[in-house]
Amino acid sequence: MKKTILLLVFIISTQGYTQIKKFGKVSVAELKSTECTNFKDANAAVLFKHQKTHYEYDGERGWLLITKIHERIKIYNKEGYEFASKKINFYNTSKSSETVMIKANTYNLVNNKIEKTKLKNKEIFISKNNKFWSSKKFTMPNLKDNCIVEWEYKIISPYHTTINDVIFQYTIPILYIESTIKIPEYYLFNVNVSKYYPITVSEKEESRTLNFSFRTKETSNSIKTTRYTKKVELYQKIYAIKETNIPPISNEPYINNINNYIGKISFELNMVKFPNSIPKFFTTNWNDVTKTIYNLSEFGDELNKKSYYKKELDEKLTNVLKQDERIKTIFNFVKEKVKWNGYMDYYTHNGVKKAYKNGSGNVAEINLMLVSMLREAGFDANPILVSTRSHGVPFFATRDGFNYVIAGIELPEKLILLDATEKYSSINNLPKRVLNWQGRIIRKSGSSTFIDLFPKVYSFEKNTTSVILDELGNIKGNARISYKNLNAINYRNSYSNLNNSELISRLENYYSPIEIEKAIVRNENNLDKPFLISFKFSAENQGEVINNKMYFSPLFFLNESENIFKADKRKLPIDFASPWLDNYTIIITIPNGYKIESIPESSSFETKNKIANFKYSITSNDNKISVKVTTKVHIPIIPTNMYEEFRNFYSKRVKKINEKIVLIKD
Amino acid sequence: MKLKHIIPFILLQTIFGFSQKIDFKKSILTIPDSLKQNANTVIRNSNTEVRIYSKKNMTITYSKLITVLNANGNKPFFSEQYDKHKSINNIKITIYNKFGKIIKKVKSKEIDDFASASDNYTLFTDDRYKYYKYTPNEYPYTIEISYAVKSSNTAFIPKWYAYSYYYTSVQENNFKISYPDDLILNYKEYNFDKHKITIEKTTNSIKYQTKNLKALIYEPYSPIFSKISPNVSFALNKFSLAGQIGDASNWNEFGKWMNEKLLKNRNEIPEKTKHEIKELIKGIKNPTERARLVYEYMQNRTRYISVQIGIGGWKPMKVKDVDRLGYGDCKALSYYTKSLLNEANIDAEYTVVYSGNKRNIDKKLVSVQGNHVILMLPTKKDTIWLECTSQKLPFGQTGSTDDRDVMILKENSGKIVHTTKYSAKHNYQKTQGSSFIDNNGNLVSNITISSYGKQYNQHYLINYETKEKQIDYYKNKFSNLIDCKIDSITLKNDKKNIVFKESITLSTPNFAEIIGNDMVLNINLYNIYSDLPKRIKNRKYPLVISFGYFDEDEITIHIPNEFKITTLPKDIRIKNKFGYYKASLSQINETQLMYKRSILINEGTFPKTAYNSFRNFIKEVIKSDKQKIILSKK
Repeated sequence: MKKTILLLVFIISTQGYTQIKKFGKVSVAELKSTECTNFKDANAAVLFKHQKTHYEYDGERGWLLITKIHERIKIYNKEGYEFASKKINFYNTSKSSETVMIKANTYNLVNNKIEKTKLKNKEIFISKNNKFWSSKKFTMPNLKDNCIVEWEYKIISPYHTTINDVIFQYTIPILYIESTIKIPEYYLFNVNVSKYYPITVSEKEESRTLNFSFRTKETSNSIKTTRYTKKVELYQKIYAIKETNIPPISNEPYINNINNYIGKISFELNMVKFPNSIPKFFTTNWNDVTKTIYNLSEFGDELNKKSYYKKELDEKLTNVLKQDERIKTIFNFVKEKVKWNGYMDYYTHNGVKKAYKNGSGNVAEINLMLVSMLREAGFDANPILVSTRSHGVPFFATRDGFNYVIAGIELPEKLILLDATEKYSSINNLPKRVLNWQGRIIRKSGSSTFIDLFPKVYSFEKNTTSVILDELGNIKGNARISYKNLNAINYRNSYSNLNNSELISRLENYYSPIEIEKAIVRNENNLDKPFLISFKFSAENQGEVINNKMYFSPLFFLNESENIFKADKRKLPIDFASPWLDNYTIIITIPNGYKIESIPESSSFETKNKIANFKYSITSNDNKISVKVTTKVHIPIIPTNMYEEFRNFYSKRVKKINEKIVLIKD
Repeated sequence: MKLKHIIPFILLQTIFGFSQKIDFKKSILTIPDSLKQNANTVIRNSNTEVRIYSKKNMTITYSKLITVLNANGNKPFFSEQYDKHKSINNIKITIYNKFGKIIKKVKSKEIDDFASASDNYTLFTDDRYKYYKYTPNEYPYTIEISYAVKSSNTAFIPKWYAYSYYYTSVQENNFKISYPDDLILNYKEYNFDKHKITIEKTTNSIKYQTKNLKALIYEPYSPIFSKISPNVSFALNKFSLAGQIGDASNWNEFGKWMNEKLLKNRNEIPEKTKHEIKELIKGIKNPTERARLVYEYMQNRTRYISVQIGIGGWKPMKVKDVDRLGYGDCKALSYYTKSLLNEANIDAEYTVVYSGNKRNIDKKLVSVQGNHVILMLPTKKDTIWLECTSQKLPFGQTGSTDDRDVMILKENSGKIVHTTKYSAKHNYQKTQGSSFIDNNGNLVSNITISSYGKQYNQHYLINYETKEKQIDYYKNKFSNLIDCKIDSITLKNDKKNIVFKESITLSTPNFAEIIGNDMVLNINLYNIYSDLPKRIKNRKYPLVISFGYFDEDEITIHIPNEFKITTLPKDIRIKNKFGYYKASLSQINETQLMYKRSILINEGTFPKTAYNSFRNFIKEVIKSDKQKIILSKK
């Protein structure tokens, strides 16, 4: 007896939501609950989401893709009200459009009775966003704390080769989700699940009888039409997911594009084959994807065009004999000749010739031109397809997985990567937007392979500062900062082409509280050299005099006074985009009348897993103290399982640089 | 010898060849150096002509030539709202390079056209926008824009601004407005005194012209832009708003019209709600108390959602619709609340206001103004203002609508009144607590922060966040306590007295640094002033302190038993026209110190010369807030 009771309790408490309920059938218990059992902090939760997608055949309109989504959302408090609004985008052009049908209710518990408020049709607003896209927008009426909102909508789409992503993770928990996508045997899709929140997609097949009717003219000249009905036996593939208690996703500092991490299933058309016809292939694997791209006239053909630049390029290259000089000459020639118009794509829009002539082009026009010129000059150069950080990480073979292209030269000893769209990019120093996992190099021979895009070198900052400290604790001095690699691109972009007052003002903001008298920027355009900034500064009250002693931390305005990683746990990886290295050398002259009483100890430490290290060395003689602080992080991405270790490293580091030097009056 | 002759010839030819296509007026060569100084953008020439044909019909033609000197100046220079009552025609946009050569003629399909309902709170609006932003390959470039607007909404006549914004110089800016004999054009010129503006007035037109205005530099703590740039606002005595003819001869007529056309006959309350209101206030005599109950009733069943339909978005939704849907915008919710209050026999006036930065409804220019609606509730004691778009604000607490001229709509008239001005001491924060430091420098803190007045608004919303976010918030608030752990958070929101109390306990390992026999300890740990106003050379504008407040801190510091304090720091007292700062540390007994700190900042406008002394005052505050003490081993 006891056993059965226990078992029953167990079932009830773990059950939560494991089934879909009919639209409109809301229970008093659902309305009564005032807290989400599994996610106590949730302001709202999706009780269930049910999606059914399948194909129909219409005699007049052809194949239609029909998606029905039913969602029931519990709203616990006013913070959750924002989840009672919905926007459904749909394709809507003068030629053809998707149909969206919506029904929705709000439920409240009033005197223990369920009160239903219907969403009226006039409360659904349609707005035409642009030539292609419209949206239906609504917000649910009569919301009260602990109410439930529910909607069901159906989208009928003639765009039968595009199945939208099935999103199964929101910024609120989803307690239960069930989705089935049924696809007739004529269509073959690749199905992929986001890596970050894996979920099992089951696959099975079933047979189906498809009835449809159509009208046709009896003879080609006749006006009269006759209706026929037809019956087709076919198989369809069923993809299904069932999952409970999917946690919400939230933003964290230092992450890549959050869309890379959201749980979703994507469908990519691979092949269409109707009975008695030749199959039409779209994509299957990365090799095929790259081949398809290579065969696009806006890609491969553009690579082969040469006549438009040949004469000018030959002139540029006369007397340039060294291999690396030749590469640099070509790279700079393209950068000067064609400026980026801000558009990304791996294929050309107006073509390389036009870009060359107009002096502006998209990413493909610029970098395919670069590849072509490099080949013409005898290098084994190839295009590399890339997905930028804003575009996300492609997780299965698809043309849409890429949105960018750069150039690569495979030399026996090394690989050279080039992006001529970025003014301050140099050889093997790519702009941050490109630093996103892997690119796919497509060789002349047709073979293709993945290439790691993350920099192998440290994004580098070296700061040498001399400080003269006076007896009041005020400081003045000179600082010289040099940036290399990714930092050089970033800081050239921030600090170049500014008038002097603007430069000073930005530096003062960045290095508050110092005041800058004079600032100079060097090597703005000389990319072979590090980017240099030097300035003359002063600041008050940087040393504190207490009794006959003076206290200060040696890094002054370079000091970090907090640990930027505050959360105890981390859900998403930290993404720095590049390994990095900061190196500060500070030489301090202490005021007359004081001598050194104590200085912090030199020390160095690293993380256990050796992904980062820190070195602090300090020496002094007479009236001078010299401090050297180096932080190195060797990898661009810190996975979540290394977070704790890394956070501790960071805090140890911040504490060390905050340690104080003590001077005493002579 | 020969060669020398040939070269100039070729050069000449290329220049000549060029000059046929280029327009020197559009090249950057004709911009005086003085206008390039501190400028990201130069308005080369701007011509705006407003022609009012009747109270229902006006056209506006714009033509602008703008040179963009660098990336900071690149903006969408064409962005114009339109709707059923307003159309945009003849848009021509051309781009020139720095030599004045045409590099692009923008095609009409390149101009974006979109609905403006894109934010989370806007469900629908009739408004649409036409928009164009050019992405240049190089700077400088010049953009030429011309278009014509036809509108029947004469309630909104474009304002004229001599400057478009900071970091923008003006080579020439012309404005002309003309109107028919049977209408009176009222207008008001602002900030004309310090600038050279040519004005030409006839019986039915006004012209403004200004030339060679150097770029302005933004200065922190300065007046809002509309108090800096010369500008003019216009209004007709008879106007049209979404097809309705209105009268703006005086505030009375205007108020009458608004009542008639916008509010009247929309206040029918469903019986069920009437009944609930009746039940709610049963037996409650005090009208303020009744109003509070009604206000909270409204808060509990509504939320803010913007739906802008009908009379250009100026007409509130019907009361019964708000009642059924449970949402509305500021107009709808204010009007709904007013109707419910009326039902409870309480008078409340629909009040139009500029929310945000302090800005008055201009009393002298009768016209459609304001960007927000609140309610005024006159009581015997004083006036209560109600913000109806928040579900959380306590009764009588407003957002940023205090201390400004607003327009109230009475049954048959309109009137300008002033909202409550709060003193610095009204915006009060009290921090009390203890710091316990042990012999190893570990710190445990117990603190309670109580906030009142406008400081209440800055704190109370944390009450509604999730635990995780609260922890995150306090870790960031106390970021000086490196690696602190939040042990407990207790929040008390006293809505009746409008006090928000945050009690937090936290622990920070290895907080105080031990050097030899000394322990170094910061005194002020929980309320540290750190933002030093930027240094400004040759300040141009008055100093505006827009937020006055008062903070008092009282912290008991428990020093570790193996340590003693040798010298206490001197008391700090600074007093000036901006307010005052006091800090003191005293010894209670061998193990306890008492730290007291207070800071008062007065709201106000001060002459530009005051900026440096204000900055020095803040510098002293920052220095004092960083003060340390040394404990030495016994």
